[in-house]
Amino acid sequence: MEQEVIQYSFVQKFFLSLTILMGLVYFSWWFDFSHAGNWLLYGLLFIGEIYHITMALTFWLTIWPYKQKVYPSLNAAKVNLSVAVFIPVVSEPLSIIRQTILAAKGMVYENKKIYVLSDAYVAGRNNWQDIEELCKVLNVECITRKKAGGAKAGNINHALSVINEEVVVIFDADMKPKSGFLQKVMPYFSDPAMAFVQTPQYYSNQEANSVTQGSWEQQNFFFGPIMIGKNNYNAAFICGTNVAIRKVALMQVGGMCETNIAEDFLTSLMIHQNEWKSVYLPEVLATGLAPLDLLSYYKQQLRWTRGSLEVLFVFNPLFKKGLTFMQKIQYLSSGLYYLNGLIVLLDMMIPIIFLLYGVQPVSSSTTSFALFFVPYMFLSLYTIYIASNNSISFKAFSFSQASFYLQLVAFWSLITRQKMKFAVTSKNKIEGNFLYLCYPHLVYILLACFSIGMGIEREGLHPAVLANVAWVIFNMTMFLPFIAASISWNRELSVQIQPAI
Amino acid sequence: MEQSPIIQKHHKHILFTISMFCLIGLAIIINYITVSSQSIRLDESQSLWAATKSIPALLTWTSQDVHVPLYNLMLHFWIQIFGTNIAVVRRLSFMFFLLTLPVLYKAFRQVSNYRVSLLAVTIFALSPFILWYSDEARMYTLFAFATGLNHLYFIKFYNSNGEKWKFGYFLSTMLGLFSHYFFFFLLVTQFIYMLGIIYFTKPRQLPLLQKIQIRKGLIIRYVQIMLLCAVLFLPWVMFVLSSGAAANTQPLIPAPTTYNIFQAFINFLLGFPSTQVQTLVISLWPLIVLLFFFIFTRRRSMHIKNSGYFLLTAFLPIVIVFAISFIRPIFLSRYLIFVTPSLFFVCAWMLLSYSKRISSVLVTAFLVMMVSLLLYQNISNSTPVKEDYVGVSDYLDQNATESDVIAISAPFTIYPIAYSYTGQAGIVTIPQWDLYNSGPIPPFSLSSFQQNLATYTTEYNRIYVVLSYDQGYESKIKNYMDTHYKRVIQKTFSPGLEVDAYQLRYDAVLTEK
Repeated sequence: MEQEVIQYSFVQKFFLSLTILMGLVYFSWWFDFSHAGNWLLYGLLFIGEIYHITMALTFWLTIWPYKQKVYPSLNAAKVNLSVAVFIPVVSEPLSIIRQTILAAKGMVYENKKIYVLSDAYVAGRNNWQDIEELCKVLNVECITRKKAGGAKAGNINHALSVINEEVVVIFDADMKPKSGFLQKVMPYFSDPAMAFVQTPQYYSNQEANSVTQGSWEQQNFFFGPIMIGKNNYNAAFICGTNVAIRKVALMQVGGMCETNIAEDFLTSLMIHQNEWKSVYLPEVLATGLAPLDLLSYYKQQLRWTRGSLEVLFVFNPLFKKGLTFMQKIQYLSSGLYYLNGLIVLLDMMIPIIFLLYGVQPVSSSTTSFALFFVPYMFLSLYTIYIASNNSISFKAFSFSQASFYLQLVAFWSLITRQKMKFAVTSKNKIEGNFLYLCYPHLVYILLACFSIGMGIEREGLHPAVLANVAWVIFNMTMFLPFIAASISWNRELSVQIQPAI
Repeated sequence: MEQSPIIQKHHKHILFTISMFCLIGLAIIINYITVSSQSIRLDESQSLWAATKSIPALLTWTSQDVHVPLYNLMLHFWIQIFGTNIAVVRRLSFMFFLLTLPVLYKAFRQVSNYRVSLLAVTIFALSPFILWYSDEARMYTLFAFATGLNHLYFIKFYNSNGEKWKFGYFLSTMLGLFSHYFFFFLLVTQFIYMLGIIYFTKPRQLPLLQKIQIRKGLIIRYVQIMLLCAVLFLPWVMFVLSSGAAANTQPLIPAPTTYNIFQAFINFLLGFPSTQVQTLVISLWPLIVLLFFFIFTRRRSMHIKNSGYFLLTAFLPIVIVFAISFIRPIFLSRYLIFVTPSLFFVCAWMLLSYSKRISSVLVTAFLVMMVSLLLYQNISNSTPVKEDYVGVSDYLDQNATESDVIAISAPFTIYPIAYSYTGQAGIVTIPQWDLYNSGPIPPFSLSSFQQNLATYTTEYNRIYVVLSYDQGYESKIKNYMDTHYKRVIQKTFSPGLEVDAYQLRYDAVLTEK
């Protein structure tokens, strides 16, 4: 059953304050350098902890329960701005595009026009005319680009140059809007400073298989407490679909940014630089499809990671004029999230190094460390649990943790300046075995088993060995749902696709 | 013919209840067979020692001890009726253990469903930790019983906004206060919970004074009960202050480390495995973080009223006691027995918060683990809480003669040996202390020890040194004896309890019985 709103809940200030306090107490432990064993490893872990605490603090700041913004003038009758509904398509199945067009036509709003933005021609599809035919049948306009460039952003920019409407609403080919979408979204534009209104990217096929579940559970947390929190700081960003954007605001920044594959993220940053307002509305107003297989998930995440890291390193929000301090922090934390892979790799390897070579980063007793670490972790996870309204799953954590490898790939591609193309997330299930995407995780498990044997062989069941064995087990367990998702299970539900015409 | 879902559900309930009752019965039988015949322990002998005195003497002795008098008073009357055989004396604790089970069930039912309540009680009844103390002639199960009763009445009192159950809450508080001093920490936790209740009163944006106004009735009655309890407990406090504590008559409690916190949880959940096993399990602490991930990820939504109360009473007292222990060490897992009902309730709640299939696996694994550890604890010789003083006494009965002397260190461990020793040899303590004249144990001094040994050398052939409860000078005694006398026997009876025999004179003939 579709949910009407995104799952989230406010964490009480008391608990957040306690969590922040505990986080700082924990972090203080690392400043007692008498705990250091091997200085290199301690230093690396220390850097990792700086990253962790930075991410934790920005997260707590993000979910701090401010009073919700109130828009007293939310009255649909007062807003009658003309709306262009964009459905950018390339190679998606016609049946899916058809459903989206029909849903878009069903939106209750008088002053709207629907445009299908086809890149099928520039993508070299032989059947590019099929989309035009479909549009003719459904009586909507099709804008087919003949000159390539800029991927999805280029497609939208091309359409922007030929339309006259004041507000642009974008839906990916699989995102079916509900009839009330415009009624809910458009009133926010009664504020002339409002640049865009973003709504969640809800996956209707979330129960189809492990990949869609994991993907949605991550998504739900992002579109729940995180985006709601960002909204408090006027820092919610465009997520590529299910969004309404004032054309003037978009044109002021030169349209959708074509130089970055996370075009929506960077475009939002530029719009905010121009002191426009934005709103995130945590209501499910359109439903789409999650990546159905691990390869599609991998590609989608890789694109987001690479794009966000590029924003971090090339367009660092900290040095951008026009953003408020909190907006800078929010954009920075969104980019920093994708550096997690480096830290996960570090945290994974430290116990392995100890088990293999007996080199310890920390010399003090592990239980004294636990006194600082365990309450901090308890409260941190508790806040996540509350903020997600008991909707965060172990699978979501697993997918985040196991994404370390693709984050490393993205990071490597960035520093070696490799080009990465914009690839539309597949709307069909790609058949095949994607276990190869888990080779890094499987190698880790093998290495871990070997190092456990080595550690026990060398030092016996010494407490230090057991503590590191426990860390290795922790890491391996975190990977298991991701590895399980890479294997095709027979009990997957099929996604029903209607005939095109 | 298929049964209706209601009947199926009813059958499942009956099956669940029967299973839990069978498990409780099994645990009690295992415990009875494996523990009740065990040797008297130090603490038990002290309780018995106090209970055999007249009531004024009992009160004076207890006031100088670190405990409150209710249990010793009960034991005083118990032994008047049933005698001082340790197996019979222990039945008093067992009785309180049995009484605690329905009280806890009733308390848990106030806030949760029948499955959680029954499972929590089963965990309590199967806990190797609880079962150990259900068969020890000490106040711990009385303390657990008072805690259970107090939880029950506090929840009822609170949920009626202080209008009902005042008397029950008051009586259970008094019972708790006179069961163990640590009951005070439960009251502190309840006080903090009350503050939290006021602070989190909805609507949240109300000023604090208005929130207090909303909870006025509850607060006034709560304060009244607490004041009345304080007034009624005050005479005992005055009596303790006027008696003055007898120094060194109790084992030294070392300042706790973080290890002890983990150890306390290991004890509560797994009982008393050997020290090595405890260390190994504690070393695996990072898995707790993994456990947090399981706890704080999506689960079946289960409505638990006053969940904050049980979470707070399961963990906060441990934090408070740990913090206080840096000023004065008081951190002992058995003193914290009052957190176990809440802790087991939280465990039951967590275990049943997953899908039925996962919960069944988790519950079965958890209960099987507890029963296995109960067996291991009770059968293993390396269980650190085992104290085989009866074994020592039997050994001395058979080996020490009139021409030998038995020296016991620490001095207060004379209680369990005096209880069971019937031999001919004289008994002294190191340092020397007269058990029959209540008063402080003098500090250990090597010169006094040497002087006493010189005297013994003129009078006895052998000295049997019984060492247990190291008070910081055990190694000095051993070193001195090993370097100055010939050790002829060394025997360990239970972890930390050994007998070393030394030849004092060489002109006497050594004969083994």
